[in-house]
Amino acid sequence: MVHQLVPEISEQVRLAEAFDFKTLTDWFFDQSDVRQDELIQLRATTRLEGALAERVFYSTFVVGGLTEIYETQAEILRLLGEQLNSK
Amino acid sequence: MRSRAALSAVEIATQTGQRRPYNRVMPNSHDIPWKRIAVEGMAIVASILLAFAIDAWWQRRAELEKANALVVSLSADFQASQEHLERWLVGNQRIHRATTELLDHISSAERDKEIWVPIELIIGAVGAPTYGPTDSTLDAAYSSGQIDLIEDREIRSILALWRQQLADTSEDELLI
Repeated sequence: MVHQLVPEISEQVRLAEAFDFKTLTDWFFDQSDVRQDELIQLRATTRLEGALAERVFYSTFVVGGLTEIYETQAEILRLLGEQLNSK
Repeated sequence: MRSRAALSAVEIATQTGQRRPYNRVMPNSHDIPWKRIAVEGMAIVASILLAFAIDAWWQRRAELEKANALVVSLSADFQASQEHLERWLVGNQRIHRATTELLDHISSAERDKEIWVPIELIIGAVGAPTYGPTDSTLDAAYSSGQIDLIEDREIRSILALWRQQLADTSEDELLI
């Protein structure tokens, strides 16, 4: 089974300048019968590419930032543990 | 009126206008118990110093107990945050991977052509989770000034670094 984008989304895809990643996300959350092994039709617009590129760019920083926070929290836990054990 | 015999030498001297028999009223300096006064004085000073020392020791003990309670509470908060962050990190890595793959599909396609992509990429790419650590103890410690109870500079320094990292990443999260 394949998913055609719902008409209003399809229309936005055709009007490439009106499409962004939020529209795609909103459409996804409205779907109740989506299976992971299905396919979805998208129009390869410059705007969609730009939106995805921006999301990749910032998610790189977020993953990097969260990784740093994770390492810092591990170090904090180690130091707090040492502090408790020294008493 | 008392008889003259009943009056003391001082009273007689006063009534008759004679000078006070000073040497009879003031004890001779040799008679003052200097040693005893000095010992008593030292005892008073020592007891005051001891009271100060006990008070300082008590305050220090109370501060150490508060510091220990703060460290225990911070440790519990960071333990919860660490478990939370493990899941958050996996979620954000999934978003990053799926979005990157989706972008590859779009970028490699001809402009404005319709293409078919696995819907699992959409599922993986959607969402914008924002990390919210368990930081109520630390916030309260900073706002009340109790953070000063933690004397270890390394811990205070890394806590400040953590807050900065959190602020920076929160800004990036809002941009996704």
